[in-house]
Amino acid sequence: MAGLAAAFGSGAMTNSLAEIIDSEVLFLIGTNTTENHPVVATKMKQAVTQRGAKLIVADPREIDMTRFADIWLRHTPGTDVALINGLMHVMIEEELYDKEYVQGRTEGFEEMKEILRRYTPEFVEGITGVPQDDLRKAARLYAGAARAAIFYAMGITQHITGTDNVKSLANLAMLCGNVGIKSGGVNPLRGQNNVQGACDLGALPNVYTGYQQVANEEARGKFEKAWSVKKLPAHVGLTVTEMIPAAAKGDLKALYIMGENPLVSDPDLKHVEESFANLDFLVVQDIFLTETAQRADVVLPAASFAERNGTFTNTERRVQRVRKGVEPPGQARTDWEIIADLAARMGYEMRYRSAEEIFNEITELTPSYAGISYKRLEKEGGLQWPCPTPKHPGTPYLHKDKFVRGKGLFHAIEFIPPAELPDKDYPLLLSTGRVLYHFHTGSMTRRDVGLNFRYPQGHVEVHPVDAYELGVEDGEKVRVASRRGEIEIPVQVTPRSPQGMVFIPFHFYEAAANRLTNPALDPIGKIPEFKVCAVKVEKLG
Amino acid sequence: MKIFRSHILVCGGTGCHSSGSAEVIKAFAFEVEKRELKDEVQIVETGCNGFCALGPIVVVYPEGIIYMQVAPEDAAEIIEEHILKGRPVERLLYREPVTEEVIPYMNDIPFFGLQELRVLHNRGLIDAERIDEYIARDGYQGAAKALLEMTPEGIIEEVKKSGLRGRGGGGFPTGMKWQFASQSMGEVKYVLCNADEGDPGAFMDRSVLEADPHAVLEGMLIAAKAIGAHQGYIYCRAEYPLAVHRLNIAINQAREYGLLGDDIFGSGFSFDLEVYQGAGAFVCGEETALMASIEGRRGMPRPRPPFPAHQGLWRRPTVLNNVESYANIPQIIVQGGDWYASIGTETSKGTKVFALTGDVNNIGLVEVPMGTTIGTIIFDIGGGIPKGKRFKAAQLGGPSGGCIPVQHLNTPTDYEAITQIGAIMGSGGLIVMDEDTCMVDVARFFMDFCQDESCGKCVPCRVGTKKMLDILTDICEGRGKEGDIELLEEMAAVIKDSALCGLGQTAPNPVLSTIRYFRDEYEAHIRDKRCPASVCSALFTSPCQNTCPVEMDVPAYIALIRANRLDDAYKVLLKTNPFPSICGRVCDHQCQGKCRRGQLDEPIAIKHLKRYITDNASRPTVESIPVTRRERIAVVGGGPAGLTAARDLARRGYSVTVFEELPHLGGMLRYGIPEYRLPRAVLEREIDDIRALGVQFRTNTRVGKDIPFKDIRKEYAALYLAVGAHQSQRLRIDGEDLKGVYGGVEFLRQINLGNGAEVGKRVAVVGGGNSAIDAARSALRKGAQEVVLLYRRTRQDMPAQSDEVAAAEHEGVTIHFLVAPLEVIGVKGRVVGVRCQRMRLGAFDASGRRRPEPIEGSEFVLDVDMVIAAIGQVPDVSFLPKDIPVTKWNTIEVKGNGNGRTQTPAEGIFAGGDAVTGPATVIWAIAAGKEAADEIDAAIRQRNDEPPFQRPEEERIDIPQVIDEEVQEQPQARMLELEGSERVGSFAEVELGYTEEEALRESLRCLRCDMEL
Amino acid sequence: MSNTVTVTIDGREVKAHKGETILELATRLGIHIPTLCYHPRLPLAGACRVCVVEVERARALVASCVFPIEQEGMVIKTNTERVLAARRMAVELLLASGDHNCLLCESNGHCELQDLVYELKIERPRFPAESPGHSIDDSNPMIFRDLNKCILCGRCVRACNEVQVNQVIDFGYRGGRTKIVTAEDRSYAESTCVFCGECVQVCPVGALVENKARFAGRPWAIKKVPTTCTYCGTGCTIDLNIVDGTVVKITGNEDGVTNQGSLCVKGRFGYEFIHHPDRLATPLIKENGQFREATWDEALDLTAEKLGQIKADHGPDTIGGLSSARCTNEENYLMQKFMRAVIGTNNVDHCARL
Repeated sequence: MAGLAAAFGSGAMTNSLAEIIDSEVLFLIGTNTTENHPVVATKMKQAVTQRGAKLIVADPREIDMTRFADIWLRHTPGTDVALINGLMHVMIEEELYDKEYVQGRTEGFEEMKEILRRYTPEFVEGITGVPQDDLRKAARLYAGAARAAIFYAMGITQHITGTDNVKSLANLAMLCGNVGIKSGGVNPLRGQNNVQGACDLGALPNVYTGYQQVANEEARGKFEKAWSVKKLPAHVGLTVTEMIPAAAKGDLKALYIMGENPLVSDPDLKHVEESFANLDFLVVQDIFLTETAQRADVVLPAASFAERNGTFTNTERRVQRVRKGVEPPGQARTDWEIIADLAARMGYEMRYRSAEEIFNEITELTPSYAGISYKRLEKEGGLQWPCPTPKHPGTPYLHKDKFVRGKGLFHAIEFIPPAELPDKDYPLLLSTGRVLYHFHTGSMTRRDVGLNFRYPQGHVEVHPVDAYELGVEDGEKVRVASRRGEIEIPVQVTPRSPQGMVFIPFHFYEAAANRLTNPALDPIGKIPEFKVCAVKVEKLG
Repeated sequence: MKIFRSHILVCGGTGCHSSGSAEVIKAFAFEVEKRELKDEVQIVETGCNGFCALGPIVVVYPEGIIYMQVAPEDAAEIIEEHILKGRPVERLLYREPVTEEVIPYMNDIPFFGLQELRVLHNRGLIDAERIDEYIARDGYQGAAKALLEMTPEGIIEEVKKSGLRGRGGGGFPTGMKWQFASQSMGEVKYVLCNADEGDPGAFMDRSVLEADPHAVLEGMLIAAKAIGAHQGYIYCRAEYPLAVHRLNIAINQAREYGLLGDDIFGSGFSFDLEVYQGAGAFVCGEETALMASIEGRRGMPRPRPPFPAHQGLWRRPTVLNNVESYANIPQIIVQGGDWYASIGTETSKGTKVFALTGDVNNIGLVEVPMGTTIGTIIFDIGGGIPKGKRFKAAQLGGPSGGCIPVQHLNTPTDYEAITQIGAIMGSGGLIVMDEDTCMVDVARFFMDFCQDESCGKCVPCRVGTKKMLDILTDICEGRGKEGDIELLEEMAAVIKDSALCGLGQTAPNPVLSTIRYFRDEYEAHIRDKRCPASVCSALFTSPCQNTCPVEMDVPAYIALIRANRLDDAYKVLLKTNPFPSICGRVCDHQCQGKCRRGQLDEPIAIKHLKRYITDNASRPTVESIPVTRRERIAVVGGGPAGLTAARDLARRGYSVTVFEELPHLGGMLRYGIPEYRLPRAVLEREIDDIRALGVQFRTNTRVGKDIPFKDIRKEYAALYLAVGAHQSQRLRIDGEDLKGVYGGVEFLRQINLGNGAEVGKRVAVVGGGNSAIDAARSALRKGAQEVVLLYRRTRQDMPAQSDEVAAAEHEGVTIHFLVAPLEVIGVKGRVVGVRCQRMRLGAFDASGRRRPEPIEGSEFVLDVDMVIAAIGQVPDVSFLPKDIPVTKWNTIEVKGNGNGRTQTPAEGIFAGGDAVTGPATVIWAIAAGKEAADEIDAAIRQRNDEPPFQRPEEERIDIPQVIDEEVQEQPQARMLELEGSERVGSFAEVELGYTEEEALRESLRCLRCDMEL
Repeated sequence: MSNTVTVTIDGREVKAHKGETILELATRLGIHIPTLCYHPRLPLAGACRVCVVEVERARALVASCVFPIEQEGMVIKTNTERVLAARRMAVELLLASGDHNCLLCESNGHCELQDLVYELKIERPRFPAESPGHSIDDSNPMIFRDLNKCILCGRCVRACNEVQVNQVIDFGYRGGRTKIVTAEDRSYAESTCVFCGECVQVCPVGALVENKARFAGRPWAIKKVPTTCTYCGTGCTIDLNIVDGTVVKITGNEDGVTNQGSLCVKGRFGYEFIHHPDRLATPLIKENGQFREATWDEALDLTAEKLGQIKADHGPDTIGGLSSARCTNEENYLMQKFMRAVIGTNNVDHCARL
């Protein structure tokens, strides 16, 4: 997000899902779309099978989308920058890029070009393992399309170079004039239903709603006035990945967690557990007694999505209604009611009679949401921000004619290897991710008979050659260990992950991949490097 | 090029291979090698020669001598005798089946002579695997002309001019199709060839691909140029491995020669193609399904529009034609559209290839000018129906087509004419069916095929055909019910109207066309639970019994002969037939024609065995039956129908009186059939048995004259009119009333009355039926020195039984075929001659025989002093009162069709036998009598509110169930006959009966197909 | 070239858009043509032949759902005896080709075949009904497949292959044995099926039904509440199907802007957690390492007191708040407002990064 914001002036997905069908080329990198965004994937597959769109997939694993790909770039995990630089190198070398666009709408090209000189296909093959021919073919294919769209997800961001990766994709898209057009753009796919909304609504340490900076005095003043608060803090707060070390150090004493489960989702769980133990007070508000909630001092029962009204904002910036269908169980209450009650008990009145009233307050304070109302949502189904006025139809794609920041900014980015690579002691590379049948920390999906029928337990994907060398067989339980911890987990022997790499889905607490993962952070995005760390696999007993 | 002295061409298509041609080629190669003739004689494996019935075929050039059914061991003889010594091997030459004439040259054989080879002009002449041979016969000239000299518009114009229409079955004008595709926008276009020949019995495309694959490639290349395509596919079913093999060879050779690929002929035009092998789903012959299949999807059709010319393969403009269409193209380009259109009919130009199969002598591949009649193809080229069976119908167009019955043999092969009679041209599969075919079963077979091959996409085809099949199956298995035919018709109409693709829309065609022409067969199955052709096995036990009009239990009495239980066998005979010893002599034994043994060697001699029983078993004694009913019944006519009815009614307790005009009983049995065929003692014996039951006879009594009609009506509860057909038809020529001119039946009656008919020295008998033969043979016996039989048709068309004809000729009767009398010449009121005219065969008549046509100027005069006109008989109905109507053929009218088949419109009056049907056979008369008895009895009981008649318990006769495990070929046991010389002048019985040994041996031949295993 | 043509439909002379189908035109004009294999979201098939109409000069009836209007002066009749005969026959045949006993069918009441039988006034089919005798696929807890009720309209095949592009099912076999099959005709559980349930969603009859929803309530008892899916960021619109205060199934909302009715396995079938017995129903307070149930007042007062205390003792920046990407916008707004305005810190974040 920070990457896109730096390049374009907005961190959000530039285009809409409905535009996928008209793209000429789809470039998927770091997204296992069929498993993580199945309905988005259907649109991509439709474009490929019915509209003749060309598909480039860059992924170390043989994900399902590679079946539909014209070109599959199987690059080594953590080498995205090199790969993208290599693509751009070819485009510049072969003069395939959109010179007019670069000239008219961007800045920073020359500096980037200078850096790219080094990223010849030969050089890039050495880093990424992608054959030069494939790289050239992909470059020509992407650059040759009038409308090419890039999609990415956590495979791009969950690296210490996550922000660099995103900036590189922004570079690539701008180089070919693909930003600010229909069916093009750079499109992050959000992993959870309201990540976009949470960000939009200021659940971030540096911004209020609509990305109004807490450091900005004017913005602060506006919120102080609206919230009737004398003084709001001006310095940027801690991210979740910073709070945990802070707790470990004793700098953070209390944590109020609403609907999150860091004890499965965060890297280096052993460290997280220690940090949580160090807290003076932990309150968790959730629908289940999650691994995190079990460690709480106070647990507050919340309503599920089916039991409350409100709005979600999806990955394409579309605000849509959430409607209450059933009553929450027992005394469980909606999160907003609980917060408001708590605030009142702490001496701050939050008088809302409904979610809609809160939404109205949001729209008053948030220019990009200003034109949206429940009434419109009821009638129009969903609106994509920016939607500044009640008459505004919403914005299907951003940066048309002009970037939010004015000119698109190229970043000259050098390849930096991941923080921890396999070595003698930990010879395998571990990547983590999700599977179709489960969601995040599994608190909901692992309670479902159907989903568990299809996918009852976690496993570690091991390439047949590695399995042979390790002497392990399909289904056999093994020990997987990193410098930070170890788990026992059954093996799935499959060529899906390349030789030398193993993959573990992180949903399964009892075999939690995050006991192994490296908490090294991207310095800007503060996102941990879930996608690369060094592990060893050992036969049990 | 190397010059050879001789070329030996051996046919080598798929069919040829399966009849052993590959071994023949090997044998020739071996012989040539052995005799060091390799530089002089070349062996060539060609495609199918067409005359598959007599394959493998070998043709030796330069002479053009054709050998049939050549076996590997014949190779040495052909090389030795023909190649080295110049003496053709006569035993392997073609022999005309009727005339037995030997025909050494290919084109003199009618099968070849009547064909016009355009598509197949290379057949049997070139080695399909050598492009040079194709090129040597003008191959790729058309492509060169099209690519170098012609514009796409020019090509299309030429094709349009030719009038060529889609040979795959649709008949859509090929030029128009190309024009649409050519006008369709698009960089990428495709040319497709449909070689997914799926009709049962069709092999036209396979033969063309195997014999001349380059013709198809060249046609596609020309099409590609015409529409601007650069890629083509030949969609060939995987079941055609040889065709695929030869196609691939041809494609590779064409590529090598630069005839496929880039810049063909230096024209700058590029085209290439490949073979796509389909899995043989019938539906993939449908163009949109075919394209789906090439695209890698399940072969299912999609609705049109859009048409392939606009959106075809991969949604690009596409032309799809079948193999034969493409194979026509090169010649059209070389010789011009006008040349092509110079033959054919108004709307159907050029030639058409047919795969002639089924019940026809010359199974094979034929190419004829459009407009050739179906009859010509089947009878002249095809050589007619094997084993002397009757033609019933031909199925044209496969499962999408319809049947062409006998009355439409003159239909020309013309798209519109064929559609009009309910069939379709289709791709040219022509399946000939003989009398042993059940048309309901045929409909069921095709419906089964269609439903089995339905892709399952649309409801009318998937479910509709299934439900139609269920109904047809029910009908065939005896579960048919009233309304089924109408429901079938309704479903057929809806399916035709609403199915998605052509296959579904045409699937009901066979049902509709068989109902149209053979509704009576459907009705027989549904109402009478009878399959007249003895095919639907659920409806009968054995074909012989099923064929017999009185359902005699043939297998049972044959089994009893075998068990030497002749007395029981006689009882079995009498269960259904009061006249077994008569029938054992004079029945026309239709049963034998259906005998399953006949498919192996010869049918069982059922008639002879029956006679053997009656000659040798002790006759069961007959006791009189007491009259238990008050109704009295009168039977008019003492022939077999009347006597049978009288017997059956008497056995039900009725008092029956038979009135007979002539002095003796027996009707035609006595007054029509000569004594040498049916000794009078035999006849008397069986009539006596009826008398013994208590039936009363009043001979010499003509009803209406000797006794008033109204009196009988008053006195009797019911009347059965079975007066027969005892008047000869008149010749309707001048001189007919001269002295010395007799009607056949009158002549025979005179003889049989013992009136000593005066017989001339030189007698001419006119006619071809049994009466004519009887008259001729009787005349001989009565002292005629010369008897000539004049028949206006040919021997095959004679209605007389062939053994009777043979016997007559054996006895000295001369038969003039294709001769008709024009005038009886008289001097002083007496016959002195008959002026005749020769005839030739013209178009087919409604009976499927060729109609004789006079040959102008062929008149001649035969010197005769007696003329017997035996061309047919009619009933004498002059005695009938006005309220009993007669038909235009002078037969008595009955209600017919199930609801009182013997009931006349007048209450209480029934009729049957020849008087109703016109002249028929003894056994039909017996059947008529039985039916009349049933109906008369039922009518009386109904009138009295009585329950229907319950048949009394019959004596159970245990039938041995023995089947021989092995069957060896063995001909029928012949029956000893009087020597020809002993017959003249004598009316002694000619056939002498089986000995015990002969009868036993013959009985052992029975396959017992009545038994359920 | 003009984009409209004048055509006559059921005697009315109207303007039609060139290229629109007869069905589209009729629907626009309020003329009812029944359909079965047609589904607005699916590619056209023209397979069931229920929507056939008469077009003057056409050799046979045409399927209105696929037949494009191109020609000026086209004359269309949607309601003639000929059309009705074909329609009725198609429905009668379907009725006779499967096990269509509405009493025993989960889809009773929202079955398109049932509706058609009623609409066409078919009192009793003329053909004996014959169940194809397929074994029932109850191989998994999600999709219950009884192909004896299948009318082979092919909607599921098109949904699977052309909408979801999962390529799991297709027509198999031929003729009367035609059946929708997975590769090698295995059960769904043994196939490559990903249980998106799109096939269930588009099935017009009772051949494919949600297994968990069987016997949970008749269609007419169901109340549908449209909302947004709780899982990934796509934002699919779903319908909660509620019977007596319980979510019995989830279906895709065909009006959903992003998904047009499509869903994935989690969105469609992963709803059991809503009424799961593990759901927290009362506040809990940990005492001596053990949770005890508490009242809201107890729990919230304790929380307020603790947070207030820490804030007072150590300053607001020693308190952190984690908001949630699975809570609503309103709740996220309130959480950050709470942290900033009530606690006085910017230490608020959520799991976007994880």
